[in-house]
Amino acid sequence: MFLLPEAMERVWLMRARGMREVDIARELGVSRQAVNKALKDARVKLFEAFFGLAEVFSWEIVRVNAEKGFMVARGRCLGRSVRVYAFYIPGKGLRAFFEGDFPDYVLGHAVELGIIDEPDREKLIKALEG
Amino acid sequence: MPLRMIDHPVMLLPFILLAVSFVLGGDVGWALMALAFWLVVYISLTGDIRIERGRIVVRIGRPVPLARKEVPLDEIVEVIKLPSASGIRLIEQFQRPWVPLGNLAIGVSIGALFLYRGEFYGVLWIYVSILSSLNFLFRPSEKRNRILASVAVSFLTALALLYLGYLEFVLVVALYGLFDATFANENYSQDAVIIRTERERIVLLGDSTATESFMEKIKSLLGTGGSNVPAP
Repeated sequence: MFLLPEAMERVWLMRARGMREVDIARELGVSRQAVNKALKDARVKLFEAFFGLAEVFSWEIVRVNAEKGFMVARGRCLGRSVRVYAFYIPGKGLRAFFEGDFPDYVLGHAVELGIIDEPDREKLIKALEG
Repeated sequence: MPLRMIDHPVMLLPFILLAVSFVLGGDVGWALMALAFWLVVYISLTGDIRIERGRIVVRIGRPVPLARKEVPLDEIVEVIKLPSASGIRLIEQFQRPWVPLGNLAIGVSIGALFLYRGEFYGVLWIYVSILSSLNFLFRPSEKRNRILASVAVSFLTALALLYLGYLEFVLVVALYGLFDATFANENYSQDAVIIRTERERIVLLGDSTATESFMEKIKSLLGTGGSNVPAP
């Protein structure tokens, strides 16, 4: 199972919630350069993970956002085209859902990261589709 | 046709030169007009976008670049691919929407200047400027609206030419409008790749072969941690 290293995940999560690099550095008691490096590495790892996932299932990538940790892709299921939404959930790893069939914890995660302002499935799909 | 970045300020240069050439007139005007047309061709055909040593390198103009832009791959936070058929308002994606809007405004102004001088082909100039901007600037959310926009612009132009008494050009506009609403709309609209970093957003336009190949390169580099390759 793909998971970001614990410290890196903490930095990434703080940034994804909208904190500035300088504030993250102050809160964790590390240098701003260290935070910047951790964020760059986290983004690279997330791109790797999402692209890898799309490759394995032959999904066509539409959008990959390593800042908020989600991917939108097009896949095929039983001969028809379906929309796939994948998220990186801290502590849980990658989770993918077809046609916006999101469980509550994903909606909560999206609200926490500021992707949407309330746990609403339609709003989340709209935000992910941009 | 390679991928192009169309909201770079350099894109405005030939159109500003063209506008100045019409205002000045005379030999200087002709020289500026020739330079402007040469620049349009040079910028459209010789620019390219490559991935070199861990960076996306955008060049406008080759072999002598008029502008150059570099984006390190490890600064990328988001990659979006928008196929032409997806129907999006592309203008909202531009970081500098004033560049394509400026090109349209200059094209329409030049047409208006022609009309003011009593030269009817100002109508054609305005027509071509608006029609050519439809695919990337006002690409509507539904393909049907794009076709309706094309038909409306062609119809109004034909009416204007009819009013001015140029019947033969009414036929030309009607045929071109028909072509744009059917074939051009289907085959010549372009895919977009949007690269977002923490500081900026680059919108690249191109045909599906070019965007697909660019996405494959991005995927192979970002997807294997290749973005950490240090630039010399």
